[in-house]
Amino acid sequence: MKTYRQNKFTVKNIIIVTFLITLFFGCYRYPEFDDISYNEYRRVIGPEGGTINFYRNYEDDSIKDIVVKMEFPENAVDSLIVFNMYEFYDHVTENELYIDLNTEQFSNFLYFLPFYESEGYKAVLTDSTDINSIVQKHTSINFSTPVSVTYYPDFYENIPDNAKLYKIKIPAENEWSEEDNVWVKYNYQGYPDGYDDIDLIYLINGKWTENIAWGTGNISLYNWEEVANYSFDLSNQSVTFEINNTDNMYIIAVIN
Amino acid sequence: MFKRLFLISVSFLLFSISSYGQFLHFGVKTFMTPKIYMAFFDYDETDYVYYFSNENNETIRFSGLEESETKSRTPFPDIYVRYNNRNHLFFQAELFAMWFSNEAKYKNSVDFDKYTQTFNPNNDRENLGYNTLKLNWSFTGSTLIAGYLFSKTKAFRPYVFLGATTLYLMRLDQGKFYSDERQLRNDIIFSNLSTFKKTTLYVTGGFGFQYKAFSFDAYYRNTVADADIYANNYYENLTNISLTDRPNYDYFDSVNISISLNILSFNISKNKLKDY
Repeated sequence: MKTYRQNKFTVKNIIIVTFLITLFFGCYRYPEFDDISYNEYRRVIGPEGGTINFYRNYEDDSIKDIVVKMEFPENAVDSLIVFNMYEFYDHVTENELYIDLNTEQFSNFLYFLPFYESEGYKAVLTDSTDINSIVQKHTSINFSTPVSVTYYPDFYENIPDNAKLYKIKIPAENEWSEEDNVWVKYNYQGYPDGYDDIDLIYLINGKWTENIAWGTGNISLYNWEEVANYSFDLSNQSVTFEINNTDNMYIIAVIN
Repeated sequence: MFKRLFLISVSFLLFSISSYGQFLHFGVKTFMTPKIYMAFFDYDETDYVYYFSNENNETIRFSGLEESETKSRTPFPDIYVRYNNRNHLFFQAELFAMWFSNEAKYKNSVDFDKYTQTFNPNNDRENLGYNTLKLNWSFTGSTLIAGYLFSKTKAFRPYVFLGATTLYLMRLDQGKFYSDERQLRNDIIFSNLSTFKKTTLYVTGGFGFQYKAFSFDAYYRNTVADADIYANNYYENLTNISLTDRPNYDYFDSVNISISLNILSFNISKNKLKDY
């Protein structure tokens, strides 16, 4: 007679497999990602407007240490633009201004070196690239509506009551002559690293003006012009002003 | 859905006992991954850039993952159940876990000397993430394969197999190797890299040898579906991908070698033989 036996094996192993699956997926958890506001650290602006904050490098990333705040109204720029911000300082020039022109400096020389994001940087160095072959002249970018700039200089002397804000013109490409222009210098990574120091020094000390060839003039404040509208906040050691283009350096100074 | 498919598959294997020459094996397996191919989508250099508004105008330009780092000789755990039919055909379901580290590499616009002067002036800190960001990955996975054993009468039996694998991303975070001083910046870079899909699908195929209860095999796992949550943006709108929706990972393939041992083996048709 044919007999049938219960297949206990199958039931037992279903339980085992189910237990293992439950154990396995019980350990499952989805990865968690922090919600970082990248906008706080970007230096790109577009037609929609917005704010760019530049922060100091006090060894760490601290958003409370703002150097420059730029507020762009809507449609101030026509496409995405990347802003580089520089504070130029030269000890010899500072002494020259003080001794020869009785001018006291209370901030670094602030300027911007923007470029259109679509163009990117001119080049990225390869091992065989000659860094001297990478050249770029100052490009003038105008804003449709004024852009508000607040500058918090971290200078070794506080801003006095009688200080004023001056601007020093950076000539656009071929504006003063086709031979002499303000050049962008590059670092060894192949990226721009501000304008050429000598060009800036000659603009500051007047050895290069619209009427005097590059480096041939005498020391003067010919290129200096007081900014029309600005306001100091001495409690926060800051100055706020508006710019229509990126064709100037800005300096807080006292001309005695 | 994948859990359900897995359960259905296992149940099907267990209940489909209807003929002679059937065996069921429960076993453990360990595998290593000597080569992992994790590839980035290609972008023009000008497109894939992060601009950080600090005094150094730091610009980060991505160049991909370091292939030499993407390998793991860690023996990963794996459990499996194998149904063997008529000593030739077999089906196998696996559950496993794996983890590894690799490095996302980028170019920094700041010269290294200037960078270290700013962020490591006393030279007392280790790597500050100047041009790399370490990523820690961990996955669990399940595999369903079908295979064919040759040389029925030999003890040493070669086999080939093909199947499907599902990987579940358990964890993706930054390595702890880098100094905390640049943590915020590194977090921003990382937040733009955390676009790997939670669940990804692969085809698994390989060959191996079985000797008694042991099996040794080598197999390739190939990505068959998008590995990035924003992959469609790359294919559909290449010229206008915003920074936050930018896909990173093109595929995640791997070469694996494994050794298996059947711990429990059952002759499913034995009881039926007794009945006759």
